[in-house]
Amino acid sequence: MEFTTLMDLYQNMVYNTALGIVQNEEDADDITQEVFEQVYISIGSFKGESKLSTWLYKITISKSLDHLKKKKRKKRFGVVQSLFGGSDVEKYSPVEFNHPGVQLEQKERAGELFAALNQLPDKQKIAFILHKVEGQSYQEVAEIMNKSLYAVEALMSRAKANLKTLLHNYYYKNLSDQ
Amino acid sequence: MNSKKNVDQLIEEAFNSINNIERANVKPFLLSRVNNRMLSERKNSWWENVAFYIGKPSFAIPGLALLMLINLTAVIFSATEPSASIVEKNIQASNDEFSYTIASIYENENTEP
Repeated sequence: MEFTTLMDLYQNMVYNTALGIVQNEEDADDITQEVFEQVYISIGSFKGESKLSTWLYKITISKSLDHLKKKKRKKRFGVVQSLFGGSDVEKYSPVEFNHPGVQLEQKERAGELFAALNQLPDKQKIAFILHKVEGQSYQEVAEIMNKSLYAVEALMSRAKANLKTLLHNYYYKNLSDQ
Repeated sequence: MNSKKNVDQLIEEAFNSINNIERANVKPFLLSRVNNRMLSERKNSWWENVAFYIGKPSFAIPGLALLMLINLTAVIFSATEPSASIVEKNIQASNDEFSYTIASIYENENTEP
């Protein structure tokens, strides 16, 4: 398969997965470029033991998590710099994320769900995104995450329970404030 | 009771909000952007490689140790070897002393005319 054909086929899949994880369109775009750059370099090492999409999902997840780690590190360094009087530090402000694929009337609720999703541990977040946003089956999620089917089921159930708690606290606080 | 019902309903709505989610589309010209990115990285690659190897602990630590060894050797040798001017001064002083001693002996032995 030619590289351009591969990109045409999988670019939206890669972008969408990265977007779900990092929840920022610019960052997701950067990650998509990084993923295809990596694919171009290491396509020779792909042995075909798994599906090409599984391999691409793995690279995308790894790049997205690296990106989040870097961002967290920068934020921490920014806090330390601001303690010592650094003036050029960009102040962190939580940005509300609106997924472009969500229907207009659902945007508010989806935004709240994505905000809660952001507070989950990485593995739960990834399992939830792959299953609910990307529409992958539990079996496919297990292959992508190198886990057993049982482990993915457990991750999903914990993710749902945690999301429920987070959303409950959020809505309860909002309703009592009104 | 009413608020609990509302909260439960909102949670359900939040979960259902992504049921028919569509895939977001990547910005256009991804291929050319990937190509540009790879080209710009290739331009910097030589210096980046050098910086990468210099920054590696396996290279940096022995390098620093070697530098410190050279400095230490230089300090030790400069402390033990007398400098040329000091040697010259010592020779001059011993010569002066010799002349003075010879002169005094001569004068002592030849006091009478």
